[in-house]
Amino acid sequence: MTNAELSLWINPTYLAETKNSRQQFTNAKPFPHLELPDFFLPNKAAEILQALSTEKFFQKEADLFKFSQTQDFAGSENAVLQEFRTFLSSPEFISFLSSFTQLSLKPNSLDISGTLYQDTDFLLCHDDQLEGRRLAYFLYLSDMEESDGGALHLLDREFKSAVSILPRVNTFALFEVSPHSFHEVEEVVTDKQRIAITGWYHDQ
Amino acid sequence: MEKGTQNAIRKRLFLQQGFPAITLTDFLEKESYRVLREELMKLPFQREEIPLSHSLSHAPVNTVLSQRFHQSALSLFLSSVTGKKISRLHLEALHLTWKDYTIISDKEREAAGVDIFLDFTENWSENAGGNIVYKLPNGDFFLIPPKGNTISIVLRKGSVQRFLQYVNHYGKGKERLLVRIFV
Repeated sequence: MTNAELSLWINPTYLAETKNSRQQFTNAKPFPHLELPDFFLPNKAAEILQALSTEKFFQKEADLFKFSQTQDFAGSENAVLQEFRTFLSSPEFISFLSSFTQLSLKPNSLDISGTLYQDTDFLLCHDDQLEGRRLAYFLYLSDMEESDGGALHLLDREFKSAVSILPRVNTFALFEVSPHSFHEVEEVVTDKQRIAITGWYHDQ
Repeated sequence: MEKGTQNAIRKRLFLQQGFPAITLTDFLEKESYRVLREELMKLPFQREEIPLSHSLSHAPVNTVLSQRFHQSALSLFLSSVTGKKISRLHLEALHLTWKDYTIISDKEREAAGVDIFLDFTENWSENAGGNIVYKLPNGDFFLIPPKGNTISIVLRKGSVQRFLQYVNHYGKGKERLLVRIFV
């Protein structure tokens, strides 16, 4: 996959200049992260959302969370989702990610699934550290307002919200998983649906 | 409570199929319950937010209030139904509202024991969460929903973990009030 092929997916603004993104990521507080609005080309984001709407979501509930999730796209029969998964896990896209995260990520080793948060769904504070996870990512596919809830909060060392990321369609967000990467998803308090594709890249 | 009833409760607790738990409704006499609840609501609850563990308010139940719980009668009753010799009770009041919860600890596992909760929750929304939840080794969950004037007794094995379910926005403005009895 060449840069020309990356440009079939990604907003050219992000392909042109990675130095800025690198600095933003590295210097971000409370821990390295980026929020990239309008990341994919609009037609791609729309196609992915349409494909996701045909997947089955399963409710998951425990002390720490309540939300719905699809199976990993590795098991999906949907061609669009398979293509998206292949793209995200390609060595070329990973190299592009590494150009600003400076993380050594394993190609073709990606966790990816759809998540859906509805009224009363939530995800309490945790750090994501598990099974060699190195970089968490989210592609938001619905818009949430502050009054809807559903914001992703990145927490500081006192577990106070330092950064609040409100889901916006086609925003691609990511953060480095570490012993300090505490975060939570605020409870959804309206009838709005918080739809996203989410997962992790792993250590090389 | 009559001896026969206590024996029946004990039998149900120990011999029932499935999870060894029992909830008795209308446990306290109405007026006693009302007075106790009023006094509990006046306790100096201390807010505690440790995000990786819990968010709730708690207060020790002071001596005068403890006496109102008729400790000797309650101890006798609990001894009878659990089969354990219980002479001394330690009481703690818990208060939860919207966004409160407890989380199962990854690091510390509570030893097996008897969990006893007296519930003083009123006007709760069924869909607000706040259930006492037991996670069983097979991944199943056993729920004890909020209901005033009930006592729940659980014979908890070490492999079973307990948490207080997150109280969602339907619990906003409402109060989940429990007294945990340590034996």
